[in-house]
Amino acid sequence: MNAKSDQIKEQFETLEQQKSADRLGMWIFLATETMLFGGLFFAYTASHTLHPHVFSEASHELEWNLEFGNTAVLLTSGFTMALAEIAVSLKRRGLTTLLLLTTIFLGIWFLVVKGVEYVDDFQNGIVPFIAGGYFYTGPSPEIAKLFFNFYFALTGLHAFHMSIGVLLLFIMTTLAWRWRDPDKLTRQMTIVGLYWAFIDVAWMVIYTTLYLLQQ
Amino acid sequence: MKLKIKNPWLQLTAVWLAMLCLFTISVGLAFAPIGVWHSVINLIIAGILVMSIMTFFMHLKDSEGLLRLTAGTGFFWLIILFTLSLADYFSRYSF
Repeated sequence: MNAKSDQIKEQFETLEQQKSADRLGMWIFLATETMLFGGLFFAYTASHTLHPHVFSEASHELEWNLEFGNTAVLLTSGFTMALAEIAVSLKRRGLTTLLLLTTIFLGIWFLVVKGVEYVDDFQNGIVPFIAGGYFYTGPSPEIAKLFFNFYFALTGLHAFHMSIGVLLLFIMTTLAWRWRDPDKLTRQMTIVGLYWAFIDVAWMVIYTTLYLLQQ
Repeated sequence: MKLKIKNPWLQLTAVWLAMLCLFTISVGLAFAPIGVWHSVINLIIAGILVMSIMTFFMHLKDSEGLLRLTAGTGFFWLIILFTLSLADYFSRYSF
């Protein structure tokens, strides 16, 4: 049995068929993730439709400029991850590791800036679910609470996904550093790359709806 | 992953720079005095950015039809969710 056939699981006939099934499984998972975020987005859209002015005023409390830079950082991390996938497919160990580390650095940077924004939010009194964290003085504070709850639910869910993504990238970096099975690593990187890019997609929609559309 | 373009590094770099430019334009337009049009333009640009990420960073341009169909399925269900549920909201409340 040669090395290539060693990699093929018994339910597949060819390695290409196995790779295709890997990607299909990941896309099905991402479709369910789309529905998870989509449910929250729908609830937000419906509430926004009922209270457009209160939501618009409340969104001015968010730090759009802080997240402008952060969105650029996230787009760049998606770019470096896509480059890492090319590097691993070309069997370039050093470059793969470097690009993965860059992606991890950008991902952690994003999360730290997000944390800084959360601290600012607490100091500005727009955190409804913490005792003493809510003293918003804009129009209809009770309805505005709904906006801030959606804001924390959406950005919190995104940050949770990102944290898992950073953890996966650490695992990929360790595997790339060891470089025991580059072909298997290439397949694994494709799957992790899909997950990381989905995080970019979710954030683009979050930033546009919460931060930009209200201005 | 099968790469059909001779220099995928350059292609991805061009896509990344284009996305950053588009995103900057989108943020700039959010504050432009163009009324409701800024919302329409922002949504269109967000759609283009999402499609670019899916096409290039998620390799849909090199994927087989089944994968593209699966990728579209999530959004298709999302459209059903939004259409049917918002129809209920719009028929129940007067704005």
